[in-house]
Amino acid sequence: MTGSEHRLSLGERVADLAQLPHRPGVGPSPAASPTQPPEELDVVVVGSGAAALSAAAGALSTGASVVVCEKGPVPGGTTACSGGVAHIYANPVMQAAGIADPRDPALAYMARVSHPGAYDPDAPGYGLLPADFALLEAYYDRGTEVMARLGALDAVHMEAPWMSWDGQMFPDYYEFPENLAVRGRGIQTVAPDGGAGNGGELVRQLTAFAAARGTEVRLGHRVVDLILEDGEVSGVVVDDGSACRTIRAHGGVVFGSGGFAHSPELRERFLRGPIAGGSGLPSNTGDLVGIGTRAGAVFGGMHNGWWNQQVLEAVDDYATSVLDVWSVPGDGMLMVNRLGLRSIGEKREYESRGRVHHIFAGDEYINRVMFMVYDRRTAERYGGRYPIPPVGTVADHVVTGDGVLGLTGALGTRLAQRRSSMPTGIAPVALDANFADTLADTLARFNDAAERGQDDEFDRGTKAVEFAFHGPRAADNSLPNPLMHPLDAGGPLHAICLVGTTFDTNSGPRTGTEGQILGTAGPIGGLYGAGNCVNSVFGEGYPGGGSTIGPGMVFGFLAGAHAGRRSPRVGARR
Amino acid sequence: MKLAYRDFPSTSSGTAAVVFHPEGPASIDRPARLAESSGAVGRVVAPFGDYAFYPSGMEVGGICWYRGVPGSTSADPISLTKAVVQATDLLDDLALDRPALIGWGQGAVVALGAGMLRPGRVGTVVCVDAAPAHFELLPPTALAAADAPPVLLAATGPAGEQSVADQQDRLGRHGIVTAGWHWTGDDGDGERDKAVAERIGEWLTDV
Repeated sequence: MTGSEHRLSLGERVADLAQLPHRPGVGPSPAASPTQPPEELDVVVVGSGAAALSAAAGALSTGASVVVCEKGPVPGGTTACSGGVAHIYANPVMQAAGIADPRDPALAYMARVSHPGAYDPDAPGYGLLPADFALLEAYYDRGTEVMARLGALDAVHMEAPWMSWDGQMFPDYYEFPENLAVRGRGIQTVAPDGGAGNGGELVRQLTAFAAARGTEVRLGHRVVDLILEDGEVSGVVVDDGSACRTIRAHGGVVFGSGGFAHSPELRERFLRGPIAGGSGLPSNTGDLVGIGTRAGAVFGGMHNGWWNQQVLEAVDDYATSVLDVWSVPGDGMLMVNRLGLRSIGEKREYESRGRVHHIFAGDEYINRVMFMVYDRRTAERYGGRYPIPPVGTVADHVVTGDGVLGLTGALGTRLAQRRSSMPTGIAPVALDANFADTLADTLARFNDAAERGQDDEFDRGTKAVEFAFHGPRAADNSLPNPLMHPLDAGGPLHAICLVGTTFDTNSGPRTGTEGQILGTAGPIGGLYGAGNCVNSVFGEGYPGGGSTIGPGMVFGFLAGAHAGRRSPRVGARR
Repeated sequence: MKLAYRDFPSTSSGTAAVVFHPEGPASIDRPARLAESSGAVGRVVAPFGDYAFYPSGMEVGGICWYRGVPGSTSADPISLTKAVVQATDLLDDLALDRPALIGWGQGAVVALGAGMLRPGRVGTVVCVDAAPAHFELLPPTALAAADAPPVLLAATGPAGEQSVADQQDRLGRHGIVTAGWHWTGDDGDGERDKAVAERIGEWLTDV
């Protein structure tokens, strides 16, 4: 920042400039035109990410006629911005590698990560609510089956292991004793060159499969309402940007749309804690919340998301999808709060780092902003790995000061500048009066721990996932713990302000084991959901990379197939 | 968050230039040096787009302005527009005197978008080796802007002539008048960069 000027949200400016038809704040859609005859087919799919396109594949596998409605200007949703990993238990890649993933411990791992408050290793269903446990059982039992069916259809071949930089399969995010298969559950599609395909490639393959069977992705088409008849869903109302029309769906409607990370109102209403926004597509505005409410859906917990961190100064930038702080670079780097205290082993994956922002202590959300502090050596050695800029660069998001006192002064100035322009959801933050002294103590303890190679406070450098996110040992770091290196607190110190954000939320209507959206009297006929728009099967947890796309694909496919079979027209054609 | 940039102090009395790198893992110093070697620019500012060089990269691999989603032949109008907005913010903050915006590949499209949104405050735009179809993804407000700065479309390689014609045709449909130039020589010994630098030098002198 050059000063304290408050810029209009970059995301809003992008939406305006790009003339996105369904950006937040645009008025309500016109009523459906009665003059246009409704279109008739078997299954309508809402959204075009992995969950939606797997639903389309599932429906097409039954012989149903399918249309995909995407309100954004590009296909692929948040999936297209992702690594395209699916977290699947006992998958074929693991089987081929001889990695055993037996059912009971896998279920215990999922239960402990997903519902840590309820988890009891000795109780039936591990202490979970029966419906929650049934979803985890279904996920274990049917994940590999769905991947095999997608492969048999030649829709997508999820047969490439998600690899780490060190040539090992990428590890899960938690190493509880229950987790007998820490590596191998992340799988990706096989790209044309034989390597692992990312999210863009996953979307390309699934859209190509749908297109080859006559199913188009209609861009700029927003589903704004459902047609309800006798409590069952028989179609949708679609706004194409100029008019509304109805589509009758004889089998059903499957929502594979986004969460509500980019609806400030829904964020404020449902999420607890200081959440500054999302790093997914700006079209993730939670359309199913309103639509599902009108259809009588029963909602699960509405407070969950896939958590991560973003740079404070970048957070208005919600139109981008790549600028979350995917890993925090550097060995001579630590994160402290406004008191000058650490809160986590900093090399953990984005989910655990994102969650430290939610801690309420001492009468406040003490970690609203975390300061990523690093020294000159780390700046030189790790520059270019976002968010550390390359050396010799003018970068307004980096705060620099001489030693602890200089940095404290510079950070205080920056926070004062940002006071009037903090992102929605993040109250202004000021450094504690004793910040400099506390930070000096924290640095001394960190440096001592780095020399000894043992982080007594947060166990930094003891988990496989930390090594996977960190990368190779720095050439000049010969200390026992390659993830730690002392900081030179006598020279210049840098800090980058990080706030808690989400890839997207994963809260919405509750679903059954085949993706049916539940009402008070059981499944609502003809209404299905999978992916970020519905309640995550993983509850408040994130067991490993691909926890978003995996359940989206599995329950999306099952939902699409269920909806296809439900259409009398499909049965009649058989 | 404003774009991070590298600032190369003036080596001559020429016009200021803002260079927009191509996508990929390459350094942003090369386009900056290439602009300097035209002999017609003074201070050079080289902004980064999104950057990340992670050891296990499923995120941005290198530096880029926008990512094609999905597949490599299309691009994403949202992240392209974001890059254009960030570029115009940087131009506003730097307050350079009618700078030349010179871009390569993806960066060429960003340079044109920023130049169209800051008419009268940008001296000229030079686009080198842009993908013609990507111009169509610029925000409609940029493509419809009045008072476009002088634009040179340059393309190198065997398909250069066809690419320039395609680019001129697409931009012409939006009423954007451009000059074209292509080069089809042998790139041994850096001949391509030399030829491009020479043409940029001529162009900046003429406009």
